[in-house]
Amino acid sequence: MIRSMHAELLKLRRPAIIYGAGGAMLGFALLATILTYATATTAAVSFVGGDSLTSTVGQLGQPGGLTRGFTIAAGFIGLLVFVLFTTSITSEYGLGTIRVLLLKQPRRARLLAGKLLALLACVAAVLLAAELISGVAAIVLAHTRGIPTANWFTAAGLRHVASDYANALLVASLFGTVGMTVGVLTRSTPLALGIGLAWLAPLEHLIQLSWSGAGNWLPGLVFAAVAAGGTTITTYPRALITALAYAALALAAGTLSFLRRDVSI
Amino acid sequence: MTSPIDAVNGPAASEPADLDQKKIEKVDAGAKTVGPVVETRGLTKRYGSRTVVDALDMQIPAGVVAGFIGPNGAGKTTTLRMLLGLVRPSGGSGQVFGRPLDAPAGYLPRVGALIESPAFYPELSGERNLAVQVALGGHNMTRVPVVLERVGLADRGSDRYRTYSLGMKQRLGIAGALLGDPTLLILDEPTNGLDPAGIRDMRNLVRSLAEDGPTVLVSSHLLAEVQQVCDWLVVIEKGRRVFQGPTARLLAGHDELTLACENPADLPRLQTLVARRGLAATVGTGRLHVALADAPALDTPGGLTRLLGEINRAAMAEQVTLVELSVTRASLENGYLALTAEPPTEGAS
Repeated sequence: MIRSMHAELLKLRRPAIIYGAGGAMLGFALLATILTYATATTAAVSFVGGDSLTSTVGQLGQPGGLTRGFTIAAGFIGLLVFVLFTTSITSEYGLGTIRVLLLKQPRRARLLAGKLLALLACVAAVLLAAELISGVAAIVLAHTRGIPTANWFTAAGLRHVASDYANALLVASLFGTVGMTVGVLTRSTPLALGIGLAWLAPLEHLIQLSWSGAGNWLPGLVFAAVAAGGTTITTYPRALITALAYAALALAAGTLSFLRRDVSI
Repeated sequence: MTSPIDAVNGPAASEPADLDQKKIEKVDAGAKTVGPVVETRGLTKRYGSRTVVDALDMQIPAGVVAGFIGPNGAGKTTTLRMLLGLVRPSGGSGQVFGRPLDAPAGYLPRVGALIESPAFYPELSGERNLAVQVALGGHNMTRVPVVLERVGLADRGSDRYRTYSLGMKQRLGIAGALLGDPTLLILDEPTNGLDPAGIRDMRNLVRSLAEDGPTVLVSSHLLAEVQQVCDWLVVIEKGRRVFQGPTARLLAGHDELTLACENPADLPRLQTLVARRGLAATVGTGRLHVALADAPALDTPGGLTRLLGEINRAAMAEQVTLVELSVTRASLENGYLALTAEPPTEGAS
């Protein structure tokens, strides 16, 4: 598995990945932070969990204010992670390199696990950079908007920094696991992205319009709820349990398919 | 009287037959003493109701350059994929280095393979692509420059793969297969899509690789290429084996002797003369065509030379002046077509 990880990391050191996927994630984090602070209102607004992208100046002055933009970005970054993980597996089938990989590492479970862990390691590094950039931007913007930052650098504030990072990584892992499974099952980039993104983005939200309980059960909405720390529809613990169940199911289905199916491309 | 034979038929004519005999003996000996590197019994692959590989029994002895031939769609690539653990057999069994096909991790470290077209990451350099394989296969990174040098890509290793020509891509594919210093090299259609110069280069590369010692299994539908490189053949058609054995054995039955007289009216007398030696001959296009398949003299060293001499002397004794006496070496194509037109033939196995 270590060998598989190493090989995957060698592949990921590509400009398209570093500047494309990495840049997009950092860009999302920065944009979300800028919008969060630029649109912060002084009047009280309804704000429960992650339902609203709009924060008040008072809320941003709380210990969790430093990472508020990063937390909002985490849900969107999840979709990028989904794309990254999906294409990382479908491109192996598209290029035919899956044959070479399996000849060099015939233990398929190890190959898949190494690939997953290498991608997660990369995402972990990018998220760290994203939180750092978001934090620096937050400090600069807080000064321009007159938002107090004293609470940010307390023990509670630093705990928020750590827990928000861990939660963002967890959300990325959820999206990544499902993305890889969709990739393994479809073996086709257009098909995987078409199905995956269409389902996770517009379709689930359309269903939610007619079914109030959708936020409790549909995977994309549940993952988003985990990213936001809970919503008005579902609590964080409930969303987390549902999300982990989806991820476990996806992992089992993806692994089984990867182990059993012929590679005849 | 000076015979025209010397002008049209040098002494070299007898050498290939002798060499072929030696090759057969050598390959047979290898097959018996070392045992097969690859062996399948009743290997079958079905996709739904379609049987792609049909109860294939195959053996590849150690140390040979084996050709795996058959028309497109005969099941060659599917068979190789089963040998490499990429595709699960629907039935039958097989072993590589004595290890079962359902546990490819037990033998793949000793196998290098290029299956169908080479597959690499276009944005990475040749070196980086190989480094990925080195990391995955647990090879030594020092192998990268060695194998690049071996396939003639040392000066292009740092270039991106997408800038490579088709021939260079094929060679990089072989370089990847060589990374683990394999004792079995499996190449699937390595000349596919190459121009004549590329085909020649690939042929020379395969030959030189074989000299390094590994057993080589090359699949191809280009019979002329296989004939030039391989000393062992497995021929399949519609998923079934139709021949297995030394290449020379398949070719031996299809050599032909062509005789022409100064006076075409002498051809019937020449035909009778040849028939006295137990050889079947037919007259066509002003020449006598003699099948050498059943010539008993060919089984001994120098037998062909003696046979030609006897025919020439007998012709001279009969006042028949020969103006042509040539041996046409059988092509694999002839042998293959003869095979596929007949019921399955048992070879050396």
